[in-house]
Amino acid sequence: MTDTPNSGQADRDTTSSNVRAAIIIFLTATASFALFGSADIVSMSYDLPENAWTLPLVTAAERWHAAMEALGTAAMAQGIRDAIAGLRAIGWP
Amino acid sequence: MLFPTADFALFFFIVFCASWAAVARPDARKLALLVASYFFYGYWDWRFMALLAVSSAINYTAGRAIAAWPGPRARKAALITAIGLNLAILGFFKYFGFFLESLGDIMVMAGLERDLPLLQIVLPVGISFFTFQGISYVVDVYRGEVGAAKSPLNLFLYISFFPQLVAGPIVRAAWFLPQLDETPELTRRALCFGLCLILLGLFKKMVIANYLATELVDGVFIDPGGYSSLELLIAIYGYAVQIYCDFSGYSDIAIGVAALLGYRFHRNFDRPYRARSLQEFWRRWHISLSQWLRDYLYKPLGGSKYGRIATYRNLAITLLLGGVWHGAAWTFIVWGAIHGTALAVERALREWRSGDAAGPHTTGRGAWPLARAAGQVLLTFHIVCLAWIFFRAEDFAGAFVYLRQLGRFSGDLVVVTPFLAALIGITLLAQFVPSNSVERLARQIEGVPIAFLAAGFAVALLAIDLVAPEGTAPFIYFQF
Repeated sequence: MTDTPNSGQADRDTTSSNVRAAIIIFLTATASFALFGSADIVSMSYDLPENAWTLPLVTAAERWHAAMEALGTAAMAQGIRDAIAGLRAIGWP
Repeated sequence: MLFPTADFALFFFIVFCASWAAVARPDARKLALLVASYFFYGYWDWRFMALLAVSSAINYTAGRAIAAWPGPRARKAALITAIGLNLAILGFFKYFGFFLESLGDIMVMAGLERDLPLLQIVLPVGISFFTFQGISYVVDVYRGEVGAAKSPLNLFLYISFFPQLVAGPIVRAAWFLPQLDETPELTRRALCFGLCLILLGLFKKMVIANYLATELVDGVFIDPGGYSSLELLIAIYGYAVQIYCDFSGYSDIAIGVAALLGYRFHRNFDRPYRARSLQEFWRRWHISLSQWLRDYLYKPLGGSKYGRIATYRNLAITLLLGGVWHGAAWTFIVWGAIHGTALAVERALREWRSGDAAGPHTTGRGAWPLARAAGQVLLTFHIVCLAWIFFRAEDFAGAFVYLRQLGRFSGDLVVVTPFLAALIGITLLAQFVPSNSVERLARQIEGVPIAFLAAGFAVALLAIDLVAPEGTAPFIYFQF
């Protein structure tokens, strides 16, 4: 079977469609991380070098985390972490 | 820049979008990937970007010279010069300090104490990997297995491509360079395959390797005298699992990231702890290094062509130098010596029993063949674990304390919890799942609507982040 100009165009279209799909997947993962990993975002913002540019980022991260705490997603994430900590603490009978 | 960090996630998102946006302009795409790769490397220490460029320039020039020069002697001279320069760079950064230290020790023992120059040489991340790629390129050009790269862009990108730059897999030019001349594609299966591998690699590294390192292995190896024999035994199983998950996790992520950019790498690990012999272990562990050592060291030494003694010698030399490749320390040399000796003994036993050095394992059904296979797997695993003690120990003294304490047969379990034991047990059992499980999973989910794929990936990623211990430990193989 030989490639035709149309098959090349079809490959390009398939690739473009899958690239868009990958971008949707990455953005969804970022959004879920922002919702449930707000404590980590605050922690990361504290690791930034302290200057006039990063100060607003730290404030925004703290506000975002406060909003997620009010929404309950931060507590859910903490609940999972506590459950894992409980598993780790189990000793031998 | 470490893979499991927000920095890398942002970096990769930008590179992914930019590279696919430029897919219709191949040179622009390759240039973008080259700039991204140098940025990735310079993120550790920008000064070493020059070293990477010099290494690439040496190999590019040598490849062109080997291809262009007419006489065999001139071509051989170009090859030897290139290999010599590659090894000189590697030797200076990786072994010069060790050499001075060992020389100093010998002089003290001989009563000739002298103040030798003290040089604090920082080891550039991934130098062993990109040096080996460079050597494989010039040797393959010399052997006629790959054409010399005409475009410096292709060669520079081959040496520095960021997914495999700092910890492999060691990709062959004959495999990768032709891919740079094709128009890359992202099929739905490649997308699913890449995402599955990234998740698997993150789980191995962030959850299994990091828990075992922080809650068991690191503490036990700092003070092995303070633990019971049973704990030491489980800790060495723990280290076997940790280093496997750490290194194969990195390889999984690297292969997955490359797949998302439209490039294919071979697998670097294939369930090594199910191996029934050392020979089989080395076909499953760090496959790209094993093949490199086979093709560029063992075979040029003569391989198995010149009789038994020469074969055993070649095996021992190859594994010994494989140990030295890992680092400038006597503990790595002993690690390589254990593997080299065990391989030679294994081969001798096989020859003695069947007269067939490369004969297959006995197969068959029933209790006896199964018990025999289980015994072979256990024996191989424990030889590998014995060697891991030297690989992980800070020095000889630490390794010997570990071994002595291991022989005292005390059985308290304080530091080993059921959680850690489960991580070790599950990973070892996972060695017996089918080899193409990820490919099969990718095939099964490629038809799933994007919304579900996105939700599944997000949930899995979040779960890994929530289950993993806090902080990001560097990958073990970065130091090599």
